[in-house]
Amino acid sequence: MNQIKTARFRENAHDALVDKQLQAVLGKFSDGFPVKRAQAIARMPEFDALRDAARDIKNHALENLGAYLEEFEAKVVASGGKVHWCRDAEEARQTVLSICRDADAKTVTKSKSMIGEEVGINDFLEDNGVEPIETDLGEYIIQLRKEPPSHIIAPAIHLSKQQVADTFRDNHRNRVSDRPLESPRVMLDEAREELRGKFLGADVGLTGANMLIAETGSIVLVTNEGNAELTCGLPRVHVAMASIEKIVPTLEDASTVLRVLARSATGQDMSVYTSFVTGPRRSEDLDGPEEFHVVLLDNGRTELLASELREILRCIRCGSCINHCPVYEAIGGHAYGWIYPGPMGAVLTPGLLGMEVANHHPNASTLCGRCETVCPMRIPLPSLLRKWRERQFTAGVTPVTSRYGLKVWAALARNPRWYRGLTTITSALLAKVAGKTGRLRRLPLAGGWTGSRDMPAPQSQTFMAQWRRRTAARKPGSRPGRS
Amino acid sequence: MSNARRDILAAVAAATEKDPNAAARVADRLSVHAANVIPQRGAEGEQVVSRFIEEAERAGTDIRQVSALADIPGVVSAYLREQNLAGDVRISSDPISLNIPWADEALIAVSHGAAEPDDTASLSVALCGIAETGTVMMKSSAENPVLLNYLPFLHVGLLPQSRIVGSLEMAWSALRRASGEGVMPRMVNLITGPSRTADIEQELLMGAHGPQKHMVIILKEE
Repeated sequence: MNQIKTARFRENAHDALVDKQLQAVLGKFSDGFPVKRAQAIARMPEFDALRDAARDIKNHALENLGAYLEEFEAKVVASGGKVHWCRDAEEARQTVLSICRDADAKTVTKSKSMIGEEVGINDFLEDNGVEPIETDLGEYIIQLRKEPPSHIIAPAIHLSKQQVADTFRDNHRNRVSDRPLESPRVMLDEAREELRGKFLGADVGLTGANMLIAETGSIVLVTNEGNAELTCGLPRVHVAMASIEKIVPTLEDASTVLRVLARSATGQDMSVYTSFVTGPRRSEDLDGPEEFHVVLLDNGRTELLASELREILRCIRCGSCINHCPVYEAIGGHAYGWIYPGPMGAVLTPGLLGMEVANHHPNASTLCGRCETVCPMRIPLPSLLRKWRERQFTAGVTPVTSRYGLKVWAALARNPRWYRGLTTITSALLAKVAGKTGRLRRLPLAGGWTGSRDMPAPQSQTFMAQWRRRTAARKPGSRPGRS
Repeated sequence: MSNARRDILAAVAAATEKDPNAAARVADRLSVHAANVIPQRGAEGEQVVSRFIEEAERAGTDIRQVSALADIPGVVSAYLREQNLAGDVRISSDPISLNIPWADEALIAVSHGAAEPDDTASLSVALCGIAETGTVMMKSSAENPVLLNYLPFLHVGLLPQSRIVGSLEMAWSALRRASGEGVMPRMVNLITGPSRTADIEQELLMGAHGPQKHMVIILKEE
């Protein structure tokens, strides 16, 4: 399993902020995906209508999830495939391993799968004598470096090309050690050559699935590199791993989701390759695997389905919320300590790992709401983060200092006279301390906050005081707020 | 694992509403194939051909238009020379591509069957062209094996002009007519341009694992 370091979020974030190399890479981040997304959406006037439709499709699918899952399974079986239901990560790992053992597999090629990351399939296979080989370029790079992905669609986005070059030099030992590896082009060609042989020699191909289609029993694979089709098309056995909420009813519904997926993710109108895989090769086919397996995983989804956090299950893993998150942009993906970073990760991670394990995530946000604005599935991410905060407070997970602070604030807020008195004194005091500059360089108990910015001093009088003065100046009998 | 199936479905049932009409609603949804929102640029009409070309070129596809099958060998041969590629092409056994008169083009050696790892170029026949995104829909069959679309350096999709539709939804209708209601081939591949990646410092590079070049030849008459 990918090592879980979610509890170290504060330390991770701190380290990330002072990591010069990482900050240099993150500095370029907002010029990439967000700009491309905006351009793609400018070309699609119906984008908001598509988002509404996509949200409705998923809501309907989730509300009728049982029926659609059973229909999906029936169709997979009818087309010659097999569905393996798995309650948790351990069952999924064992299932994949047993399929690999039945196939007498030595190597497994893999196309990018977040479910594969979630259950930690690579380490598990390796520990059991089966060699997994990631084929998506980004995943391949981080596999060589033994790192988790730092972004759900751009797993190696935290690395500079120099780091990638060093990684290739360290790992591709059969090549001339001082070969030129300056440009990404050369590195890509080298990776392509290295992986060609792996594709051809693999016994099992392991993929994820962007969607499952109940109508046809198909799984949908979306890539730009073409690695998914080589992964599932060359070996004798194809295994697709997917969680249960990936289901959509029909091909038409999948089409609607596809129209928002690539635009939200990379800013393409359509990813280069979108493939609908249904069963193993037919008797007359000249290529394709002889076996087709779908590993269908719950791993906490049914609990989310039953909860007020259900809406996160609409997520299609486009990464748009991550691409627009100021917190992610500041600290990168690894700071989150697991595999799902950014806003979607902050909602999903405590749901999958437990609130105690990922207690910082829902709080590492100002609830600025950019994520909700760009989410193609209209997931109200800030509200869901707030729901986690409420749960934390109720369960007593919230740190003592925060609880104490909230209690003090609540007591004050319920006592307007105290509240007004205190704010009057404080704002006058702060204004005085700030002096002519109008800014405060340091604040007691808020050193972390003022460490990187100044606090603007209050305008000497509180709003309430100003309002009173304003209404007193008016004609007696006129009511405040009416003109 | 049958316990897992039972447990998951029970948990799903407990989490969702019990509605006596649900089964009928689901059955209806699965059989009607209702379209949701089809954007204006996916509209049907005369403009689908020009829109297909415009969108496909945006995605990096090289488009050629020919009026007859006899023109194809010359177009392919010229493209291979342009790209400095060897003149061997693996051709799908689709009735349309089988009728291409390659014999006139001495520089091209033609073969058939499934793709081999070292193939330079392949040509297979598209079921549809989708104008809204400049995408070709390839349907797997004994005649058009899947890996022709993925293994070679260059993939050529042969697209009869009459098969260009506006939207993805229209392409599904065409697939249901071709394969039968509720019958899927092993693979339906939607292809929009040559393979690419931006995984190293977000720099977009063409030619990842799939074909480095993608050409679509639009054939006016079938």
